[in-house]
Amino acid sequence: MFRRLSSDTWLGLLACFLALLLIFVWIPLDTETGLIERVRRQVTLGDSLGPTVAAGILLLGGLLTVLRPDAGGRRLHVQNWRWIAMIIAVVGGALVLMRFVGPWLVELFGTTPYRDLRATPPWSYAGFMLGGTYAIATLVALARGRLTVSAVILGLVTSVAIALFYDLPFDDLQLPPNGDV
Amino acid sequence: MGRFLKVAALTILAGLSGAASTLADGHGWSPQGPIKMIIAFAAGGGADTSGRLIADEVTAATGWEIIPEQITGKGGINALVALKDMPADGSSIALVVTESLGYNAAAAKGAGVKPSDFTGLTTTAGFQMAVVSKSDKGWTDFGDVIAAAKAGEQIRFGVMSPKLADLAYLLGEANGVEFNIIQVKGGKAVMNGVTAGDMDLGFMAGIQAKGVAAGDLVNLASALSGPLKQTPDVPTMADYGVEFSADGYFVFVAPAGLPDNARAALSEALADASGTGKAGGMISKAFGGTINIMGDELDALLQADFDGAGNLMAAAE
Repeated sequence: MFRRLSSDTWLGLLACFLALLLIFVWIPLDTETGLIERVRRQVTLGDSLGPTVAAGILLLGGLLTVLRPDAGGRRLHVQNWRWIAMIIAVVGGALVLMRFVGPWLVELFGTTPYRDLRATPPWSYAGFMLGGTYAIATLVALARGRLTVSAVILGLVTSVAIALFYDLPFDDLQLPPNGDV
Repeated sequence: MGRFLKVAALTILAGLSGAASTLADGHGWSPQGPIKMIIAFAAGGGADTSGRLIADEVTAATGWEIIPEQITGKGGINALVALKDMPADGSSIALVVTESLGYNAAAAKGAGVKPSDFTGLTTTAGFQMAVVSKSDKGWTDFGDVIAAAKAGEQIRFGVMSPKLADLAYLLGEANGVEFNIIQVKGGKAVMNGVTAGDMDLGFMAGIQAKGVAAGDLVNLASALSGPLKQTPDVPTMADYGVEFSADGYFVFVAPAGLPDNARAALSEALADASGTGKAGGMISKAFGGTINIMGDELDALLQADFDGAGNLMAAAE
């Protein structure tokens, strides 16, 4: 049955699933107040109103897509699923590198905790540089079908440019993950 | 003999240098890395500016690197929730108001923060909280507002916290009128609302000083338990039948469990900075001068605010 579903229907089902996950799991776990709060005569918007409305719109869009999919839409093949899985794996891997490479390097080569070095180059750049280079080079390699030196150089140069763009002019900005460690 | 003198001189120099270093570090403590300074106020407002200027002064005086970061919302509760679980090693501090750890902590549903979760460092300034309107409204004190409300005028009263909303309600109740109370985010939003004519009057904690001096705004009543510094002749809320006040301070806190030497060093550095240079000048202009309450006195103040919050809530029920 699922094999006959079009890509539009899959997209709609995914949107519906995410919307329901948001409404019934994420929002209740991550907010403290309901949709509308009444505190001593004052009616205020609760924490969960905004995200619930957004999830509701996502659900509506998903339902419309499921009910009226593009008539000429293609079906999803194994290659499509593989592509989606690879993109998710690349982005996930890049985030893991960004978050943990700095602390790993400090553990290997330093004596001070990473938290104390989170504003000190080169430690503060390590995770962003490696994660960024990996993300860009691997995505380019996926699109081209092969990993090339030029893709790695492109990733490295872009990561350096982004890092310098944020780090040099703004004293109070920190590259990921340094604001959260 | 010559060698002995050389060794003795070096020993004395080393001792002096160590003592100087200890003094410079403040109580033998200095941070091992950058200090994250969470600011619980909207960027660009008076409180945010004071926090950032204090950070600059601390860095200039001690060399400590301070990285300010905005975590706004819920009257400082979001900032406190973020700070609560950070390491208690002096690498994380937050600038909030005493009301955040008092009324807001007591009233916030499920916030799970209380004064004992934090180490108070120092206050930097007191509020110059007043009920303020535009001068072209023609009101000279809060009595004129009551008269206008009794004459049938719908009065829109801007506030920036639930506590102030309760106080506005009690001001109306005590004088037999009802205000349309509008809660917005931050004193700057109240001032913008009043200036734009979207609100008829509102609570402002010191941001009104320039406008009052220029004659564009007017302090109608002091929301403190005593007179305002800028306009000491203006009546207080007690004169209009409200026994509660909006007394409060801007305060730096750290997570609970901060070692004593770190607490002393941080408190002293922040207190010194709040009265120095641009920070001192700005605080003097906007908030009437630096006020540093530290140590046990600050602990008692924060706990008393938290414990006393219930009385105001009960009165406003």
